[in-house]
Amino acid sequence: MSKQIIMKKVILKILIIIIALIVIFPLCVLLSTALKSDREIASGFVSLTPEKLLWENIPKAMGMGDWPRYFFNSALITVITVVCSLLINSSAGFAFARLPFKGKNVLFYCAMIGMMLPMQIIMLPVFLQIKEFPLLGGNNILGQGGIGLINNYWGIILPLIAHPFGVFMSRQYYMNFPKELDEAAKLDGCSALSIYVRVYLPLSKSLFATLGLLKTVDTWNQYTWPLLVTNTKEMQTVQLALNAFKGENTVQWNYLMAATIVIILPVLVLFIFLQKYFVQGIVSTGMKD
Amino acid sequence: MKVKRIITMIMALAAVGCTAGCGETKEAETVETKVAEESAEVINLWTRGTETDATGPYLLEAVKKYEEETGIKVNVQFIPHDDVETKWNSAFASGTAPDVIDMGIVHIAGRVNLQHIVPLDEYYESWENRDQLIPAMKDLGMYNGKLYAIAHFPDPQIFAYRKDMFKEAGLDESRAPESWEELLEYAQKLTIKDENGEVTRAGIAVPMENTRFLANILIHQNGAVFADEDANLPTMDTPEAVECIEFLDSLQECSGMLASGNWSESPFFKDSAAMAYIPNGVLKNYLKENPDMKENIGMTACVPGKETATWCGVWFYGVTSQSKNPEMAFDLISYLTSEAVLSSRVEMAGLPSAFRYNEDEYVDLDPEVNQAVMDAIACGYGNPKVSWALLYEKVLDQLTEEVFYDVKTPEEALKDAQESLMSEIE
Repeated sequence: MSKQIIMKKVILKILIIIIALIVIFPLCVLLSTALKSDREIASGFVSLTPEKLLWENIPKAMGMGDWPRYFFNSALITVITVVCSLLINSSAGFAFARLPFKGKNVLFYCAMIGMMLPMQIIMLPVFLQIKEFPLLGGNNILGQGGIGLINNYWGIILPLIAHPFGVFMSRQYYMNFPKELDEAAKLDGCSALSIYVRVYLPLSKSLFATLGLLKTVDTWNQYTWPLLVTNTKEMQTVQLALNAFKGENTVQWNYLMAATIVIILPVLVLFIFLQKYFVQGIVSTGMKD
Repeated sequence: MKVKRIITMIMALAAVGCTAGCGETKEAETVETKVAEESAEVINLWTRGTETDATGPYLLEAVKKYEEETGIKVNVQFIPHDDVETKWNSAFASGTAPDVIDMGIVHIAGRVNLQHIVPLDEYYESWENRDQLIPAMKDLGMYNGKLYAIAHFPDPQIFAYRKDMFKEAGLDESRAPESWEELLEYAQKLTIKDENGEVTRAGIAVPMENTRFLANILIHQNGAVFADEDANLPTMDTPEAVECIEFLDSLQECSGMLASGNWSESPFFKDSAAMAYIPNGVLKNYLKENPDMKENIGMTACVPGKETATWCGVWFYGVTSQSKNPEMAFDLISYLTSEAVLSSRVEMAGLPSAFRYNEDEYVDLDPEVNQAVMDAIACGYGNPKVSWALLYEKVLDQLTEEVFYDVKTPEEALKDAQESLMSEIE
């Protein structure tokens, strides 16, 4: 191995270490702050090593509010959203990638326009649609008279399912499949639905892992939409519950960070289990971000 | 086989999820339908902050008692301060606003102009507690000659100083400075700088962010205002305003870049500043955690200029225009501001009230601190009640930053701020 190659490898490794440190540093601050006392935080002296490790901050933070309920709400919303999203997105992606039908491109680009619009712009119209959802929450068939899906799990879930990013990603993924697969399946007498179910779905593990993980993180971290739609403590998600540690003039940083650690754990564990598929999925869809 | 298994698992998961969702939805739906049907016996109250805030537990306790006494159900929702406008806007736009909202001075004019809150004069006239409401607190809840909000929790800033640092600098530690001139003189004497001229201990803590609070205090102390409420116009380019910002800039020279906008992290609590205007609740929390510091800290309502004035944030209750039963909503407000409820809050949380009937009780709890708080309430001002109050806050913060960082002179910054506000208003 030439000296030049060795040098390149060393520089690359140093760069990787620096980037890793930059990424890890905020997490270290998070953990360190979570284990400090109020007094130590207020002293203003910034140190990564707490004077005394106050592990009890974590159960104390979890004792402030009905956290099992908040976790249940977040988990329920996330599971339903992710499962529905995967089914809808992958089947729509398959249709756009493989099925010939009139207006396919126009429909696809229409869906893509939805991806360009930030949630803040469509928030109020979507909120009104949710409020005027017919026959639920005291509404009549015209969506009047009640509160529709406000303060209801489906009110949070439905708009989160309907995001075209997954359709785009699935389409890109399925377009990489050789067309011979479809032809062979057709020769065996498969319909379009059979091809999707029997051929494409079994080969979609990495797509589902990638899309599932992205959707899980996105749904789990939702803040503004659940804030708007929920009106009672019983419907709060974990992200909303974090506000319990933020007052008008003060922030209980140690408890806020302690609760944040507990909140990010499920997503972190999920990522560790799915990272192999996640990387495969990113590579095979040609997505980098 | 494998494919079938995977599909079966996904479908099962979806089914379980949907079933669970439906179960919960049905429950939520039933509750909400019931709420809609029985709206005459349910009051929805949205309050800012959290359950663990100073006022949170006592509000929940009072609401529980109210429900027991009246049989009326009260749904309380806590909304983070930063998100309250977003939440209100979507709720009012969709017709799902609550009956009662808790708000600050800054919100009153805007919500009145949007017709989101209703006048309370009719209820006030026949209200048994009306004479007990501190006049300054009543005035803060008025807009365009009508009463729109009932104050329940005044939260003033008081002036605090370090007696040990005063003594060390050869100043009389038994009293606070008594005029602007003395304040500046004391600040200069108390400031310690290193060999590079950098402030290592501030004579006075001037926040580099959210400086609007201090600017508001100083403009009132200078006998002027930054906004004419009656004309609904900014008055930022007056000689008094220039004098006020120049004085603020001189104080900032004795503060350096030490002070942040987060009150609990004020350098005053870190031995890095000798004087500061501090929200009374934050100061009390500090003294509770550091009881040995009580002897070292002196307090007064403010250091007067031409007039005595300090910042006084106030929490109000208002009845919304979407309330199906405004009488019942006002009845809840009346209960939450009754002597019994507020006395219990004073006793248990040590929070001041906007009503006379709790005044002595509150001062007796901790005469030194609480007398300063009551004096501050009496001379307290908040944001101007104009429909562009939120914009006013932003502009005021921006202009002070421009002056502190020498981007503009006080005259230029105030002139630009005046023009910017005028063009936005027009």
